[in-house]
Amino acid sequence: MIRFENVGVSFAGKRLFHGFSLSVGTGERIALTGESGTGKSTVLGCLLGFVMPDDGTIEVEGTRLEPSTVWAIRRRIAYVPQEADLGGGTVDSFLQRPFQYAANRPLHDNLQRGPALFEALGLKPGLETAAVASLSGGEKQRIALAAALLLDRPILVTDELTSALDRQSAERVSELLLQQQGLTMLGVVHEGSRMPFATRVVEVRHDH
Amino acid sequence: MTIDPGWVGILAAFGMLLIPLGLMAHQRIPMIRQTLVAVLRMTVQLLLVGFYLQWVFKQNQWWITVPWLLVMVTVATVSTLRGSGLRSRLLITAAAPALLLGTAIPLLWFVGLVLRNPDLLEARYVIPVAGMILGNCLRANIVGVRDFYQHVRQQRKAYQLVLAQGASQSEAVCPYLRSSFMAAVSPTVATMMTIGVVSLPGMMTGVILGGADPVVAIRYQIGIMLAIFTGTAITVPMAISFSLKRCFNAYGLLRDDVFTQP
Repeated sequence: MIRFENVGVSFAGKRLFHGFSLSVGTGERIALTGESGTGKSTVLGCLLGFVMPDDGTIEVEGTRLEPSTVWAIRRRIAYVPQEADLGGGTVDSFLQRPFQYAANRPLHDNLQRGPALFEALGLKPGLETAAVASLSGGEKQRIALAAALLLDRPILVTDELTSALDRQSAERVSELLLQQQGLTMLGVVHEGSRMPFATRVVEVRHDH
Repeated sequence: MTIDPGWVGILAAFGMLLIPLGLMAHQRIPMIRQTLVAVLRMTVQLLLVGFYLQWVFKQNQWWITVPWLLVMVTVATVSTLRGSGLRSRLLITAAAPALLLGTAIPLLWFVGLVLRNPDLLEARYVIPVAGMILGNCLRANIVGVRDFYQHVRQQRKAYQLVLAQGASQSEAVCPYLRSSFMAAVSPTVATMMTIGVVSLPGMMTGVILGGADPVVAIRYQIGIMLAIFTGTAITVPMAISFSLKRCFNAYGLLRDDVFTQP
């Protein structure tokens, strides 16, 4: 489903990593680990077309990532960034925003699943009307995950998804993700944190 | 009847300078040299333009008026690019047509429909009115274009999340375009709110000093303010829209080399 082939990335002339290869099958849940600064988040950036690799190729569902395909590939991936910026409005306006884009308009009814997702993630009822500015880091992370899941994409990409969560909330997140049948996951996990829902752990190093 | 200050009157105006220069000298404000250079430049520039416009108005030929308007647009384009802190080679093809259209549309509307002058290119009307519209479009353009690109850069992660959520390029930049538009036109809106109460605008004062009835001056001023607002409202989104293709890469990301400063 996802294939990285000998991908290398440099920043300001300095090699971050090179020769990175990874094949992820449908329904696999991969935890990307590694020391800080090895480029775990950069791997996700490459997959989303936010970072241009110097060499190598990336394929998603058999389509090679390039300028003509990146827009369609992004619409196959749900992304939860580290410390997601939910904007300046309310939680509800953040949840509604993606469904205003032409590509997601047919999925507008998915918003009805919001309350059930909030409950599964341990988010207080009525939080939808709260201002984003009033939320804690953990609430923001879970809301960003709910927004990503509402898009019904076959691939979920997360960056340190549970870093701001307490143990109980992290367990709820794991439970919810385990229930997502057929969802392919690629998640960066920070050192020392767990990703119990992972089916495979892949280490990102400077030199592969 | 208009009173011509004459050259003696202008000498008296220069005499007025002794007051601020004396204050600067007394307070040891290190701006005397800079002020004198600015006064000299203003005098020479205005004299040259005055004599040139006298000749242009007398000739009143489209092949003199139109190139002069193009010179004005070119100078405004260069100023926009310098003031925006963005790379000229990426923006020149966007700023120039945006300023040209943003000035031409309200200008021709004003001369043709407001003044109902059958000669759409009569130099006496076209050049000063174009100058006023263009000056405001220039200021709005600097604010709007700079604000747009700075916000996309500062909110890179939020912008990327929007792309990841399935937005097209135009959907992703829409909120930034909206806020830049507001930043650019807000000063004109604020001016319209207080005009006539806080200050009498330069044009209206000029028309009154030129001997016209204040009601005629007001009609001119209303027409001009609306033309300025229309010009800025056209120019800013146009300059940003025209520049998107060159300033963003094929992946929809802002190019690193858009800014002159890293």
